[in-house]
Amino acid sequence: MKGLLIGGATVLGIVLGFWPAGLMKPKPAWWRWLAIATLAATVLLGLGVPTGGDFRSAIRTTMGRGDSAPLPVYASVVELRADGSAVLRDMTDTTITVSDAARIIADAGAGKGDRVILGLSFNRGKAAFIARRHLFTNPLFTLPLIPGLEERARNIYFHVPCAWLVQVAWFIACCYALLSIRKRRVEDDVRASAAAALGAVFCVLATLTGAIWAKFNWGEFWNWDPRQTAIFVVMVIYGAYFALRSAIQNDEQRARVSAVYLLLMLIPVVFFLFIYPRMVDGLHPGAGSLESQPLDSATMRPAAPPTAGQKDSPAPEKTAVPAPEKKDAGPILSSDPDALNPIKQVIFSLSFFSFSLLFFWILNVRVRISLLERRREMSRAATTGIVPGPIAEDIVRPS
Amino acid sequence: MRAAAIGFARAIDLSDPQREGAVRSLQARRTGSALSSAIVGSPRKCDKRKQPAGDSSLLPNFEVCCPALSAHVAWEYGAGVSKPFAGQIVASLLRQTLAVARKDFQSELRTRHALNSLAMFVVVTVSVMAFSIGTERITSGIAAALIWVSMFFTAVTGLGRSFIGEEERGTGFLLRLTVPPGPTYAGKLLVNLVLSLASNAILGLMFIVMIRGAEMKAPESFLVVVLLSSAGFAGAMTIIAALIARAGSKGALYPVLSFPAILPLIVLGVDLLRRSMSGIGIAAMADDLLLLGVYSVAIMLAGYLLFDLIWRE
Amino acid sequence: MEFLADNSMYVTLIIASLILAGLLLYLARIDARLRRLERER
Repeated sequence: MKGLLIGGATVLGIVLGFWPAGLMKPKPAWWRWLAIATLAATVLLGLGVPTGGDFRSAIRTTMGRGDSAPLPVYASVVELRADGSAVLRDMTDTTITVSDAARIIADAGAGKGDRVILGLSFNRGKAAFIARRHLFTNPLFTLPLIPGLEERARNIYFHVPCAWLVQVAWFIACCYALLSIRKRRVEDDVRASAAAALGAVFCVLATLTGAIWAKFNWGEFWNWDPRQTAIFVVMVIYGAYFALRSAIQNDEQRARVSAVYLLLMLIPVVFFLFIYPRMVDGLHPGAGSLESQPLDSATMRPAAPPTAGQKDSPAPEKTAVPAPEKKDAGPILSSDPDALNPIKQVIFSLSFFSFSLLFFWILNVRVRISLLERRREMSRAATTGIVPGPIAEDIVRPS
Repeated sequence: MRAAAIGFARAIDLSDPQREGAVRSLQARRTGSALSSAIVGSPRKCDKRKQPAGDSSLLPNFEVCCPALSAHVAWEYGAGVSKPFAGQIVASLLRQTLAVARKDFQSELRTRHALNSLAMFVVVTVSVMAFSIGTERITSGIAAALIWVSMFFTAVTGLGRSFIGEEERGTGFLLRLTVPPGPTYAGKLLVNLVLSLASNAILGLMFIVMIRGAEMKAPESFLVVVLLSSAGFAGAMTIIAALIARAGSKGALYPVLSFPAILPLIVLGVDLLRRSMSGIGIAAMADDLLLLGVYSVAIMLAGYLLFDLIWRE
Repeated sequence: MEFLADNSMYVTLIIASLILAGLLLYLARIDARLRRLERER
């Protein structure tokens, strides 16, 4: 089910990217509205669906941390007592009495039988929850609280599609590079370079979003994790590709040489995407080293913190022994349906779909502009008598 | 001269639709022999006995240097010769490869410019490292890293000359006409292989002699690592040199373009070199050595497949 | 940093706005190119 949803959204995004009007004609209005609507839905759902955990995950999250930060706990109100305490039952049917919660719940207009998300902090000394604030009453959907990630888990809707589109862009650029060599059409070279340029943009976005997230989760902006190395290599290749393109004046020559370079670089890219992550210890989910390390399945990272002195490192808890396939696949590719919450699956698929549409929209506009620029250059050359490209070089070359 | 050369190219390009006409006009002008012997070698080196039997009057005289290929041409045109064996064609390709390599070595030995500068670069690099480190005893990890840094820059400065030199001298055009792309690539690769193996071996030995801490505890694995990484360097640098020659000999592009192709070698090779320097044998790191070898072969093969596309006019 | 670590929602918000800003910037560049071409026509 999960594979069908995410895979279907991914495939549909690419199919819809090509199918109406291709890359060289304007997209129809319904297509553009679909892109805008799904993108808006991704942002709204990705940021808007509230997080609410159970008591145990809240306790796990506060480990190794002061009790200042309240955590969202999703529970139904069983009873409001006269002494100001409230009896709450969470999704795992754990019932806990929280002192001082009754006033906060009553102030928000909620009562007995309502489901609420409360900001609770756990006092380690008294081994009790303290109610801080009321967050939501009867939310339609909630996302689970993941210890060690919390609200940062939402990064999955923004960072992962960007990283995916880097690969899509690379694949499209390589396909058109091959076509431009085979068919010797200028349009193919334009499409290849446009896809590469957009791939570079998404590369930068994926790197930046990943780096900020990593600062708060892994302690450093940059860790030379295998995936970070891979994206760094891809960025260098894109840079080299455009440096090479700018060094050649002749159109046909530029198309051929840059296409060959892109195809040659497939070998290091395949190495860094598929072989290197399995060789070296990594932090990203799905890294090969996790097979040998105990993994806190919920936090998507090895239980041993990568850097010493990290302030929010969660204590590894030996509650659940993760299944073997969970260990080497990560939450998205794992065959275990529990690795990714159903609501998360929907939002994640939506984000893949909408980012793909956005990507193809920009790609479409870029290709059209490049072709228009080219056509104008040609017509200007025709009026001024200066012909660009191979013919001019032929005249200059002494025979 | 140029028209003759283009005709010659058409005559040996098996896929050119206008080849037949080109073959005829070449036969009329008899320029093929002069061109081919000027480039590939003197006619006395060529084996007259291997010329195809039957009516070869339709063919230009370039068959003196690639008899099997021209036999193939003749057979295709119904010149009354039998189809050449596959072995004949392979032998002819090998001969051409060696001819290209020999030509490069001969022209190099005439001036010794590239060899001298490469050797001096190695000496200067190791000396800079040795003086910078002083009498400090470094760990084998740092020694391996320093050797790799030196090998990278030696490769970047030394191995790019092959195709750029052809373009600068203007001989690339003639090479293109007389030798098919495959043997050209293989010949240049061979030259680069020898150069990079020699320079890397000298570099490694000089490091071990001159720098305290760089020790060769397992010589056989050290040698294998250097051999495999030299092969990778040569493979990556040959095809990228051909690309850059096409980009108008922009020397500054060389490290930029080659870095992504070299990085897997660095990632694998530094660790392998460190392990070999601390005395681990070949068997203990066979997996990583295999990976290094596979990457080197893969980049060579990719270069071979793609070379055709950029070399042709 | 301390504040951001405690209120991790803002980290996500920064990331999301960064993506949108990056894409909008890119779109704006393309738009400028398009407008230049239209003006030349």
